[in-house]
Amino acid sequence: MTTVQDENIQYNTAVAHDFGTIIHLLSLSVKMPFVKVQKSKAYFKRYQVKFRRRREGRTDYRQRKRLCCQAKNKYQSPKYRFVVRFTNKQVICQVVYSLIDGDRVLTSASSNELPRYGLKVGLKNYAASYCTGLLCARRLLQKVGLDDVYEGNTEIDGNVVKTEVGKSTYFVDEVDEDKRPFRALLDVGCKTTSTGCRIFGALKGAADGGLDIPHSEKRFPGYDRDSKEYDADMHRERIFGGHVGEYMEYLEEEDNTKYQAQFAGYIENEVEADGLEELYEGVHEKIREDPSPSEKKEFTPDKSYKRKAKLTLEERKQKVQEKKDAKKAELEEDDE
Amino acid sequence: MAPTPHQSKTAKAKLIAGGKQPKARVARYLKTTEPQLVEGAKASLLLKGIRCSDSMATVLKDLRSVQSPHAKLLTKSNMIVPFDDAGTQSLEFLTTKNDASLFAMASHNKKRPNNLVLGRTFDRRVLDMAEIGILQYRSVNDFPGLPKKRLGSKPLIQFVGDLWQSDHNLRRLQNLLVDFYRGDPVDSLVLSGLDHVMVFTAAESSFNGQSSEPIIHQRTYYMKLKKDPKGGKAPVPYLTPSGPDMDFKLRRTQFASPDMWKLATKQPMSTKGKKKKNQTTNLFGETIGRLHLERQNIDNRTGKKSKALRLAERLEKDKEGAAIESELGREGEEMDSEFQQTYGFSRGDTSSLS
Repeated sequence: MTTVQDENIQYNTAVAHDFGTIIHLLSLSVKMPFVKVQKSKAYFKRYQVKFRRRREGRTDYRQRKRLCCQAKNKYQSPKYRFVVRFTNKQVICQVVYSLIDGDRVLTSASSNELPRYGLKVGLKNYAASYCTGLLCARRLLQKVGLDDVYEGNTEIDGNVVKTEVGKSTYFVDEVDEDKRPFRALLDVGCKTTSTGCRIFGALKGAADGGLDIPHSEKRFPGYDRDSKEYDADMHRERIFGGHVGEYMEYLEEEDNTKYQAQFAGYIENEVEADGLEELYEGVHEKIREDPSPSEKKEFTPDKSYKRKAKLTLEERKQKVQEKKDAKKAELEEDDE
Repeated sequence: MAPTPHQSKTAKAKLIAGGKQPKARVARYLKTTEPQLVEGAKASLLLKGIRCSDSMATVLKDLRSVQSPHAKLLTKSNMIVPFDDAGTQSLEFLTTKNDASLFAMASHNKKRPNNLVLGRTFDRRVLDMAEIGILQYRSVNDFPGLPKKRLGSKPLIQFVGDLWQSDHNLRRLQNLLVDFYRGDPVDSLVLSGLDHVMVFTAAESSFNGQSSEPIIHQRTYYMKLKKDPKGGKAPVPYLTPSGPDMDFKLRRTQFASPDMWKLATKQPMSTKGKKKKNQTTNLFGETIGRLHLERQNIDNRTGKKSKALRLAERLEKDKEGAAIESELGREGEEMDSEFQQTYGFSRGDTSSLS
């Protein structure tokens, strides 16, 4: 039982089950409040902890089950996820499938690779997540040999592309007769899916890259929830970093010192606000040219760093002795 | 937490006495726990017995991953002796509470080391139970780096050995095992959806010349379907061992009584569909139809005449006509000659005279 230090609550002897506790409490003259036992011993005895990642708040298992397991009317065909995650410094897009002993990554792309394609700064914004999604999609299609069949959407206008073949809808502009598009489902993780969220930048990039990801324009930037209207131009502007350029111009005029601090990287790399669209166009083009991952570098440890040699017992003793002597000398000096 | 029969009974009584209706969310959940006309995949409850060794815990963990997402693994040990009235009752209670119709309980003691009780319930009561003693086990983790089955995919299950047919207990065990591993019931499959094979081989074992309980070898293989190099139409499976593999012996069993079995296997009429008459499937899966014909009445039948027949008829008519004509002509000639003999001139001349 918990004791609550509240003078106003009267002590109720009727509910105290443990007689020993009563005597003990009375002797201390603490007023015991009425505490109803909500969770009994049987409850804690049978209590089962949740999965580790649930406890950590990192996995939504209800969502995961629906994303990983095939619906039973789908004839047990394999299922893939298009996973988008954000770290403090980068965007990561992956195509993942689940096996019983863990998930396997089919392809992965991160915005850390974008400097290779000419984008040096701004690796976490909407435009960068678009580029990363595009890179991941092109890389995957190249890997599975569909890159020639599904070129994707090269003229970016922010609209949702889809075609209907028979009863099913595919989110690509044209469906090949022999090879159907690669379908993957968007996995947003535990992130809030607000309108205009960067996750949807990656989604749009992948969809434009020729991946068949079911989606609608409802969460794209430019969609107005109240009037239920979608402004594709606004989305297009985001894809080309229009909002970043706008803010750059605004800061440069209003508060130059803050501009210098905020956009230090941009200034260093000589990225101008009005050159952004051209820059992103170039990046998209380069990604389409060669989406393959860069060659793995051999890991070479930094040999210049030397670990400190361990002191022997004698050396350590001597060190202590020296410290002691110094302290003694100091104290003696004080006495004098 | 699905209610036990007792709980749902009291809840109903309360409702009749004028209690509150359950909240919409609760009512929806309760509906999912009710028996359905067409049931989905069976959920399984995996739990530890009074004592459970580490190796038996891994068996349970593997079972969880193989059967996921339809399995629930309980972490704490349970004071349950399964082949016992009280034990059966608590198993029934736990499976009801967790809304699972299959269960597996692992335990380990001196008398029955590495013990696993597989079972299933029907109508919240234990239907079948089979206790197996695991002799050898290789976990999924003992095959590192090798491909494994996908989450929630269905296996191809193969039973090798005559014993599966001849031995009564094994026949029931086979049925139980199929129920245990089959996953989602589906009408059809795509080939790309097949990714693993489970093989159960039953073999007679002998110890010191005396034959004892048969040993069953369970092997799981990851299966990759590839194009036939010989150019055949059907794909060729390539197998790699992927675990879990185990060898086990059947220990105690408690299979359903015939009455209970009959009840459990009964199917509602609406799911059966209409019975197709005169249609059978033979050993090779070919459908054979049987036709029943009445005796045909050919006496008063008028058939359609074909063109060739009509032509033949006409030709015959012509021929007949020609024959009659020639007969008439010949008779006329005869009459003429007779006329000449008697009167000395021909009949034609008279006409010419007049």
